Amino acid sequence: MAEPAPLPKHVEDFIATTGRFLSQFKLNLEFKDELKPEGRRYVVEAQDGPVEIIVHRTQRSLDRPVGEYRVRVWANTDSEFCRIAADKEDMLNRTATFGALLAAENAVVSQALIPTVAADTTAGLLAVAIAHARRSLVASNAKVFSGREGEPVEQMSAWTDLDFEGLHYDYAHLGIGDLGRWGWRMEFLAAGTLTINAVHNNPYWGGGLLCLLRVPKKGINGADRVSSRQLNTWDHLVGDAPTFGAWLTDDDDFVFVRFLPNFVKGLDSLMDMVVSQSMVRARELPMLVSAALEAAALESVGDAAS
Amino acid sequence: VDGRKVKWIVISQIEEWVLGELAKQPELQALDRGFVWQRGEDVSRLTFEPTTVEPGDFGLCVTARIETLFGDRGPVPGPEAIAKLNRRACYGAYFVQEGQLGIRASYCIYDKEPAAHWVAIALLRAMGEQLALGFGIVHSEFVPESLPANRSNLEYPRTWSEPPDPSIFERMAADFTSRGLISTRGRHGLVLEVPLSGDKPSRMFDPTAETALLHVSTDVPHPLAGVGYFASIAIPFDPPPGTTPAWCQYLNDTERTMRDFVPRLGAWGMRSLDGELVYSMFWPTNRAEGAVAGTIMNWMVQRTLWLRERFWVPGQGVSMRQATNG
Repeated sequence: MAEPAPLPKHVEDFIATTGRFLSQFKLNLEFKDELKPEGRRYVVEAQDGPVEIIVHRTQRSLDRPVGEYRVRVWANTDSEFCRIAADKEDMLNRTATFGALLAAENAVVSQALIPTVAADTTAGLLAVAIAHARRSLVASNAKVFSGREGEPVEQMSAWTDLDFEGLHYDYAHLGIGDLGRWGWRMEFLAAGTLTINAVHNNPYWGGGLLCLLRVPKKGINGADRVSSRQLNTWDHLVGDAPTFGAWLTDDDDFVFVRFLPNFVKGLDSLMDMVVSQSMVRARELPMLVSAALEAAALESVGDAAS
Repeated sequence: VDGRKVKWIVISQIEEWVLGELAKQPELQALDRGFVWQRGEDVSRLTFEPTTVEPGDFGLCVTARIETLFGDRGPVPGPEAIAKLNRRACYGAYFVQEGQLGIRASYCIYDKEPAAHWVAIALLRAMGEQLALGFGIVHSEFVPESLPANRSNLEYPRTWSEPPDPSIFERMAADFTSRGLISTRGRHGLVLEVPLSGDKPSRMFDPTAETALLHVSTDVPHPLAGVGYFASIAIPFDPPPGTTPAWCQYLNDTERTMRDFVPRLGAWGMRSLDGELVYSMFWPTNRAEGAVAGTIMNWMVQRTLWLRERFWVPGQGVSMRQATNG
C-alpha cells in the first residue's frame, strides 16, 4: 500500500501516540486509505468488532494557513441492539463513558480535535475510546437491564479527597465551587454546573471518576425543541470539546456524562483537561442547539419539497 | 530634605514590633532595619525600606520586604513552570533571579494602619513560614507524589478552630452593592464583579460582560497550607496563547516596583490548560477575624482597578501597548 501524504508533525505524532496506547490493549491501528482533501482512514479490529477512525482537516480550517485536525471514531453496533435502543438513547447513554450512542446510525461515536497542548493525554483517551467506548456502553446496559448492576464492588476509585482539594483550589476562581466528600462541584457563572465524583460502581469499569456537566435548557434559544440525539450528532460533527461521553436530557437540563476509569488517572493534566473541556462544552452548547435546529429546519424543507 | 524630595523616616509601630520580636531570635542576624535568617543554603530576609512617596492620608511611611532564596536543589524551573507554581503561592510570588528560585512578598506600611497588630503578625509569619511552606509547595508541584508527605510534615490546621461568621459575607455583599458592584454571597465567601469595560455589570446575566471576577472564600483550603482565606481575580479574556507566563512575571515584577500599593502577599499565576491569567493569594489561618475578608476583598478591588487602568484594552484584554502608554 502506498505511503499516505504526510500530515503536520503534531498530527503524525498524535496518530503514532494513539497507536502506542492502543498496543496496550493489544490493538493495532491499521491504515486503510487516504481521504481528500487532507485526511486518512484507519481501522482497528477490536475484540467486539471493527472500529473506523478518520483523521481529517476541519472544514473551517481549509482556508486558514494553519490547519486544524479532527479525529473521529465510529464503532458500529449490532443492528438488533440499535433497534432496541431507538428512542431510548437518553436512558442508554447514561452509561456512556468514552462515546455517544447514536441508535439511528447504528453506532457509538467519539471525536476530538487534535490538540497541541497535552496531546498525549488526548491520544491516550482516544485509544480507550477506540477500544472500549462501544463495548462499555453495550456491556453496561446489558448489566443494568439484567439487574446485575449491584454486584459486589471490586475496585475503589483511584481519585481521593486530595485530588478534589487540589481541583477546588486551582479552579476556585471560575465560579462558585463546593468541595464535598469524594467529589467536587463547580457552578460556572451562567453556563452550567460541573460535578466530579469518585465512584466505585460503574457497571463496566468499577472504580473511577464520574463527570457530569449539567446545563439548564432555560436561557438557550430553542433548546426545548432539540433532543439529546441531535446534540450528540452535532457534538460529534463540530464539537470543540471531545465527544468522550454523551449528552442526555434530564427534565429541564441537558447533561453531558463521561466516566474515567482508574487506569487513566496517571495521564498528564487529565483533570485540567476535564475542567477546561467542560467549560468549552458548556459555552458551545447554544451553538450546537442552533446547528441542530437549522439542520432540522432544512430537513423539513427537503421533506416538503420531495 | 534636598528641596524637592522628602525622605520620610517615620518608624512605624509595626516596624518597632516586628524588629523587636525578631531581635529575640538568636539564630537571626541583624541588618540595617531588618534581619536575615540563614539555614544551610536557604536564606530568608525581612527588611524595612523607606519610601520617597508622599505619605498621603494614611501616612505611608515604609515598605516591608520579605524574601526567601532557596538553595540549589536541582534544575531551576522555566517561566511556564514558575507561572503555574504561582497559582498556589503563599506569602508572596515565586521568581527566579540569577539562576536561583525564590519567593518574595512586600507590604506597604501606613502610619495610620488600623490593623497594625495583624500586619505585624503577618510579616512575622511570612518571615517564619516562607521557606518551609514555599519549598513544600515547590516540591509538591514538581514531585506530585510528595504532596501527602509535605502536607503532613507542615501540619497546617485543616479545620477552623474559630470559624468565620457567615453574616460577614452578607454585610460585605451589602457594602459592595451599595458601591455599585454586583456581588453574590455564599455561606463561605463572596464573589464580586468589577467592570473592566462596557456597560454590562455581570457575567452571571450576560456571559459577554467584560468584568473581572473577584473571590474571597473561607472554604477553599490550600492543598498544603490548610484552611484560611483564599482570594482571586479572574479576568474575562486570557492573554494571547503562550504569553501568560510572561504576563505573570511582568505583573508580579511591576507590582513590586509600585511604591504605594496593596499588600503583595500572593501572585499572578497561570491556571488551567488554557493558560488563564489569575491573581490569587492565600492567607493560612484557622482563626477567623471579623474584618479580614473585607480587607482582602478591598485589596482585590484595588488591584483590579490598577490592572484596568494600566493594562486593560476593552474587548481585547491585557496589553503591553496599553502598559507602555500608561
